[in-house]
Amino acid sequence: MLHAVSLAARTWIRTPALAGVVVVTLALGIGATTTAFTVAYSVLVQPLPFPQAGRLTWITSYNTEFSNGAEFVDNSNRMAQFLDWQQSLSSFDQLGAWSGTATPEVFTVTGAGAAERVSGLQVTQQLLPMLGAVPAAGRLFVKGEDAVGAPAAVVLSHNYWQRRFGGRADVIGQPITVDNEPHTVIGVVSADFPLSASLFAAAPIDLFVPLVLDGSSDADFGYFMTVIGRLRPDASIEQARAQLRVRQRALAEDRPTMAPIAQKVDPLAGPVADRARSRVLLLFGGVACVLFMACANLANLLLVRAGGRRREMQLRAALGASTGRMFRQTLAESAVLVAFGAAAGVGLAGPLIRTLRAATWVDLPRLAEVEIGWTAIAFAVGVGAVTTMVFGSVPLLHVRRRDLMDSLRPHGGVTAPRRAIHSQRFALAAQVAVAVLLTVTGGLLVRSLVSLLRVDPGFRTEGVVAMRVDRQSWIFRNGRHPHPRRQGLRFPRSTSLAMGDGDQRDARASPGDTREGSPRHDVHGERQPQAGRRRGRRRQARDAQW
Amino acid sequence: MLFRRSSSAAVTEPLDINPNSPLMSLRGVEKSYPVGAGQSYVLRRVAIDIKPGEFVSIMGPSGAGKSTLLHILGMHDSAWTGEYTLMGHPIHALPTKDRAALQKRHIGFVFQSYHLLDNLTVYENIELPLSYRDVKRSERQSVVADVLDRFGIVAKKDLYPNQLSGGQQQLVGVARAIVANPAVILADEPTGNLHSDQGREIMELFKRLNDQGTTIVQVTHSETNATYGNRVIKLRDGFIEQGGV
Repeated sequence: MLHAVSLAARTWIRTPALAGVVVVTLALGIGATTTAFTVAYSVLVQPLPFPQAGRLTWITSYNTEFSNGAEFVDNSNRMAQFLDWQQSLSSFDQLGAWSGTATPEVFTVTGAGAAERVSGLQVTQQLLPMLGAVPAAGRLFVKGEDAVGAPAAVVLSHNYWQRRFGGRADVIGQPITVDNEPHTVIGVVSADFPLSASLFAAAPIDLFVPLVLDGSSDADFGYFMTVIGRLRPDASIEQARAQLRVRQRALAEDRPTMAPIAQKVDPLAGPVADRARSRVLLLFGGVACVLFMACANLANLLLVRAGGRRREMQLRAALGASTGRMFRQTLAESAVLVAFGAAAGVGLAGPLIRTLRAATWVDLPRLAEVEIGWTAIAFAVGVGAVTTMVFGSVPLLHVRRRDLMDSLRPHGGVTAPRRAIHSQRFALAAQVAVAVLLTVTGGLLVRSLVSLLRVDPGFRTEGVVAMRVDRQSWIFRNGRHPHPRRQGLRFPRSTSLAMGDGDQRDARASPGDTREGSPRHDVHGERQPQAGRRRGRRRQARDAQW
Repeated sequence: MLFRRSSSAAVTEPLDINPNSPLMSLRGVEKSYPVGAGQSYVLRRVAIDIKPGEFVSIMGPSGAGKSTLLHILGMHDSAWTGEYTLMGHPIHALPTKDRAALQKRHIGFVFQSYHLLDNLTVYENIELPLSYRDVKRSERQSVVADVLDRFGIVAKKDLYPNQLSGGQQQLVGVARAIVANPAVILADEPTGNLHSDQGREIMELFKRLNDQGTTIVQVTHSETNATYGNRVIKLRDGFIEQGGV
């Protein structure tokens, strides 16, 4: 076989342009497919990077009057339920929760340098250790720190600790203010804690504060919590579901409004993968089509090349080469090229994956975990092996054992056998079909994007800049917020300024330089009369608070 | 000396051939192509016997069917009717795989256009039939070295065909044909592309091989080349005109 490989290399050295085209095409095709496979494998198949991830589950609640539970809703549990489950669910080793959905909350941090809006989570005490968090400095929350009246503690993420505090060890015990509440920094989570990457689509989480377990806060609304539980080794999901049904019935007896509520228990990886499955499979399918087109193109190239070598193959058959022997030789020839192409493809996959991870517009969970590993390499080897077998058999289509004489005459015929011609036509037709499919799909996607961009939002957006400003960072004077322009916010060439609160439900009028007809206010909130505009009494009173 | 061989046995083993029985025998062999509603015959009712050790020249005008007959003998063509027996084996009744095995074992072919493989050296071209016969590498090296020496082309063993003259290429072609020690060598106009001196060299080589016991069947237009043999078969319009059974 070594000799066959050496001969194969020699054959390709004689046709460097063709060999180069084949290698580059294979590299692009295999590289893209390996990238897509790696993403699909990491997002859909690989276990979550938490300790004993197979025993971690989501517990979600749903209203049976509106839903059959098929749709996953993460922030669907209430405090009363969680408190009850902590006491009564024996199927679970640990139960943890955070307040909200799969998007971190926004907090304002002051008291340690400039005020800053950061992202964070309110979490129960057990959540972080349950998901494998270890402190890089200090400690994590201990039992009771999520109880009512406990001293307010905060745990920083490693990234935030580095960014805000320069990685200083003396941050432990330092007071900082979070949303106007004094907290004490008790610890820093290690850099490799995968919570954000795995469950929050790599959205940054800068700090963790305790989610206070206060049953009295949960009337008919209360917190909507996302709950995770770790099953006991000897418990099954079915047992957990049965226990939850029992507890829900008991809870509903005390709170009739919760009577239609039911729970479902799913493995932790399930909803995470489900969120991304269609996008990932679409990506993988599209890339596989590209690889197919590349292979069809190459098969055609090699068929044409094989046509030129038809006499050689017929001669070898005349000299005694069996079909298997000739297949070994052509296999060696294709293996040499495919090996180079696959190696280049794996090398290309690395930068492609890094580009994907850095692309902020790509919204896929667990994307930060995607990296080239042995599985990806094995996949590339597998693709390469199949490609080698297919390409290795292409030249044999030109061998016609029943009629070797035709090629061996001094002026023998050069017409390819019918099966070779049919194979060429099939490869060409397949290529065109897949190309049309991809083009049409791409065209429809572009059309959808264009339609989205043309949607009229109901207001003019030309020349408008939006920015988020935290009012709490401004200096208070006499209990009132000062004029934003007096605080050094300058808007050259702006003609109007509007402020809204976080929910955008209460857009205020625009103080400052305005066009004729809009009200203005000075730093003390006095209203300056403007001609040409009447304002409602409520509006005036609200504006005066400026 | 005649040598025995099997598909994987050493090529120096003696071969059991009855010198009184034909090595090759054709009876009623015909080949035709469909033309319109009828057939165009290339060979008609061909019957010949070739005995071991003979040096047979097949001659005739262009289009007589000489090369076709030779390629049928060499089993390069399977689209014919009739009976063909090679060393007692009924070729006409054998499947393709068995035919190929017999062809590989007993027949060496020399082409008019040399048909050397351009991406192989002289050594590798000569070695090729042995490798297809699953001969061990050490044996192949020994046999090829011996053949190179006999043909006086040791110095050229690492050259490629495009670095050789026509005569040298045909020499390599003949060496390749005999390296596996076949029972019969079929040569299709072996000197057709050579000038007279080179052609004479090749024919004298064939004569020496024949003297050593190798059966040779050549197609030739040249009366001079035919004199190296001891029998002539003449073809005309697909029929055996002279020298058949």
